[in-house]
Amino acid sequence: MKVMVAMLLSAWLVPVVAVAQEWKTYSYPDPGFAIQFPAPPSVEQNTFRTAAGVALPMTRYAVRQDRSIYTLTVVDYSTTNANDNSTIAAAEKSFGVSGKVTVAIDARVNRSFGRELSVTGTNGSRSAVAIFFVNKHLYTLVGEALPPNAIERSGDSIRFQESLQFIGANGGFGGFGGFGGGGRGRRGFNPQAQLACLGKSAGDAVPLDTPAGPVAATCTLIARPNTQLAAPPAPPP
Amino acid sequence: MKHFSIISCLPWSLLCWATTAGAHHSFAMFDRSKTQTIAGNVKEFELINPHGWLRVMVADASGVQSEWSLELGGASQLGRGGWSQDTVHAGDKVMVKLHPLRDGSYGGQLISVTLPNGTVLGRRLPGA
Repeated sequence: MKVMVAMLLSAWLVPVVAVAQEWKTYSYPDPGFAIQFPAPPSVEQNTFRTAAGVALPMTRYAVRQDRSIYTLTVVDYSTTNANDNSTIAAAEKSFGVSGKVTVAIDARVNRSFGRELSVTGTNGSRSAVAIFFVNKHLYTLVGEALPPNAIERSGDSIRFQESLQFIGANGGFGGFGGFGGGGRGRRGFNPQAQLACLGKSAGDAVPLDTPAGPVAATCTLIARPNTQLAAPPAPPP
Repeated sequence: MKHFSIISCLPWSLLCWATTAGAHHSFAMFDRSKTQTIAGNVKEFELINPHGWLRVMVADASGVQSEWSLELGGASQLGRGGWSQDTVHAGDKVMVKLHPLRDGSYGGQLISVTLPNGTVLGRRLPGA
């Protein structure tokens, strides 16, 4: 009888596991992103309240599988004058409350710049985090491997983190000759060079990786079409 | 937000474009100053966009298996580099050279993989 139960159980489990482990890309043209989940995500609408008390629409995409949780939260700041740097910084700061941030680094997805973090939770969880602010939307991605032995599932968290893509007119595929883009190098700047100069001033010396090896480079200010270099004073969101 | 580019990079522009044209993200989480080698058995290989993935089960000294997730280039890049769906199969014994993740998680950016028949494939070009 026990054997029969085990056989029935395994017959039921095997196809479920096979389906559950199939990572697929899910695209959301509005607001404009694509991401991979190991199973169809649940989608919940909610409200996010900023530090200033402003209520903003929030959408949460989530999958819980085995002992991992994959979530992407998108907050719509389009009704505010929120600044990308300060919004990203505030989101990053919140992760220090729930755990220890072991890695925090500038990052790029398509033409958009943000931050990527690694967080070790007080409960022993390990999270790969990405924070971006694109087209007035704050994207907070968390791939969390739960304890015990969270490190054994940490690779999938990174896979989730690295799968985020932005699509559409701004911050999307075009410009760098990527998927559906406008051709290789037809417009835009070298994103690696931009990343190297993130937070730097004109004239600062920075190292730059090239296929021929690292080179010494200097940051210089370039006028970029359709780029807002200075914004009028605005109340915080 | 101020945007900067690198004037010194201009002579390198073609090379720079070549390396980033297919890269949808910045690889910031990988420590590209470090190289690590692992050996194990392939669990799964996905030739997909924006990046291919190779999952390898690696045993530690006590025999405990851990899954490593290794990021590759995009499907078209890999195709030009000699990869196909039949390049590796589940169960293949492989040796992988990689740039590890900065936080020590089990994963990294694949530099090259040595297949059971001795063929070495890079993430972009054969033998890279």
